[in-house]
Amino acid sequence: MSGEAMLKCPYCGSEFRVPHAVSVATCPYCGYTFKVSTGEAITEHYYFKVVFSSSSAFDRLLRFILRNYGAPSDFHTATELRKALLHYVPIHAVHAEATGECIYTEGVWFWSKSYEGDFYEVGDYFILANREPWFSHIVENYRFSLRGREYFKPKMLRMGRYYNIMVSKEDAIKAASDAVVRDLMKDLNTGCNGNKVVKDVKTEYLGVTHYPIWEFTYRYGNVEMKALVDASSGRVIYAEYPQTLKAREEAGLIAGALIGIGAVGGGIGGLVTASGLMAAVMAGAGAIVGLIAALPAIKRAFERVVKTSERVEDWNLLLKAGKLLEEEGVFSITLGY
Amino acid sequence: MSQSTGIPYSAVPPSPPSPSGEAEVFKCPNCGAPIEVTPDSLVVKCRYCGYIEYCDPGYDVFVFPSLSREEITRRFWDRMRADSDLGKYVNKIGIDSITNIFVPFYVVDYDAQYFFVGERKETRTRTVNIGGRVVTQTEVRVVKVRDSGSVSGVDAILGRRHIEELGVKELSTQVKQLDISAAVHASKYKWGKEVHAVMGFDIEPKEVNAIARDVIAERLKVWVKRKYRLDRLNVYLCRVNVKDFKAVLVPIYIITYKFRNAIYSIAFSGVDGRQLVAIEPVLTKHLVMYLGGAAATTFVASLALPFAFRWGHLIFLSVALMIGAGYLVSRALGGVRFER
Repeated sequence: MSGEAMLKCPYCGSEFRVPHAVSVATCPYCGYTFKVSTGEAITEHYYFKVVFSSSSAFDRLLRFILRNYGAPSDFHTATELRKALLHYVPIHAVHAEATGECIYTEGVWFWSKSYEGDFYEVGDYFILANREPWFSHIVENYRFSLRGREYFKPKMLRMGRYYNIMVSKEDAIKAASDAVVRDLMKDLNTGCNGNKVVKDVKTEYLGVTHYPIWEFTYRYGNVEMKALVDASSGRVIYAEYPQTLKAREEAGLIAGALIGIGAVGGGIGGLVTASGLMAAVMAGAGAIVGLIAALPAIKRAFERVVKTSERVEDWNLLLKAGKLLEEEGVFSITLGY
Repeated sequence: MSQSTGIPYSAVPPSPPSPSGEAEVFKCPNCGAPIEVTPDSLVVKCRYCGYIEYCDPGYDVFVFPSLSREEITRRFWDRMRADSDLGKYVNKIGIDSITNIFVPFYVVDYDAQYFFVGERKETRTRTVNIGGRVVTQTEVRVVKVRDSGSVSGVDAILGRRHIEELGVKELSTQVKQLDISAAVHASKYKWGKEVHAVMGFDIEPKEVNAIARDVIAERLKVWVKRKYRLDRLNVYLCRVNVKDFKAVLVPIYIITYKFRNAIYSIAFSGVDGRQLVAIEPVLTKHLVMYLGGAAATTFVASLALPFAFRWGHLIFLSVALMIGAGYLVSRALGGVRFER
């Protein structure tokens, strides 16, 4: 097959094919994970267990969607599951520390005074080791569940779609090193108006973890949709659902009401402060204020299929999903959780 | 941090996997059945006889005793009955799952010295009479501010990397205020029957100093900027000294419940049963509040516009209210709300 190379497992001697770009391979027969270039074993290889089976994760997905604005009330009974695929996505973990220095001088000539001080940045960086999955943008900065890792087992190669490690350990360390310097500079930029110097960068490779993610394809009426669910915690990483016509009409009504209220407010303000003509202009300006305030409702009114994600802490996931949607250029993201 | 006094585990620490990739399997000291130890195991339970073994990580770990599942369930129902929105629908609510997790934290006792030179913009408005016309003049001047000081306190650093779970952020705030003397050494703690496994720390004690230095200096920087109302920091120097730190496990309960076929969650502190955060449906009361608020703010925002010609500052009020109205609309259409 073109684009693939034949490898021999240094541990059991079995032969298997891998894509040319693979830097670390896992033997499908014995599970030995090694560097393709040297055959050296990768011992820091972990995975997260599947806690939510296909059916329990799908049930959780449907019930999550039901809590969103505009989801059909029969969504959990009328939705047909077309495909469930378990992805094991590899993620490198690197611990990085950087030290920088700020030298700030104030005054001139003999009256000048210098201040020097160190800045520190410490972080753990998680780098996707394979960008092949279509959802790699969404899971790029995805935070793990509070469930434990396990040592890698060969059996997991047969449990779902296993992605090889395409990004080498060295490249991951380099990416983490660049990221920690970027973070240090952000720190320096907000706390130093003088010379900024990066003095030292240290990294420690923590290992590679295969994280389980369910991909579901499902159909409601004539609409086929996709979702991603964390198989370890059951959290919905990304989901799509059809919005009912009633919900879209309601959103449209809310938008219309706000535009009207804005126009009335602007008109009254205009009448109080100026003439009748000015009042008309101000009513228009007030309507624009209402229109801007109503943007989330307007967006909802035009969305046939809404994309959402489950938030437990911040907006990270939503922003990631938003990026993907922008690239797709089809839908906008819901402001739900 | 002192060395551990815990009971050494017969089969710890777990070594890396064998070349075949299989995890090493150890024997239960009680019945001899195989026990699987993972890289994150701190407490493991034998699946056959229920024997619970503490895996000594090589340093002291303290556990805040957890309320029982029954007690948390009782608090959940009390909370639901008292809820102004959901209280009416208690008979339509059903518990889907209860998860009890011990979250690893490092409680850090520190003192820090800071020094800064910064700038603050001060705006002065005055009314002057120019040729019989009253004009408002705004003067902006940059004031240099410098100060130094020292602070001491307690901070909590999560003992695991790159995680996100409902209530953990809120729990870390509570951890700082807990009395450490109430915690029990992990080797002597009586783990409940429902405990299957307890995760340990993947951030090691040797890393705590560096993390604390970074996190606390950054928090202090934000605090300094806010306290002195600074627009810019020319130089900010901060020295953090970690006096002591302790590795603690703090229990959290996450209850997932069903309401009208949909799922929602609440996180409770396992220490005192306090609600940390709840994800709730947006019902009539809040829907009216959000939409009413959006209507009122839109009205005031547009009403303020014509007046902005006379009082320029009102334009900022108008824009702020407009953004606020948009936020309230998005909350109304969000489907759920977070309650802390």
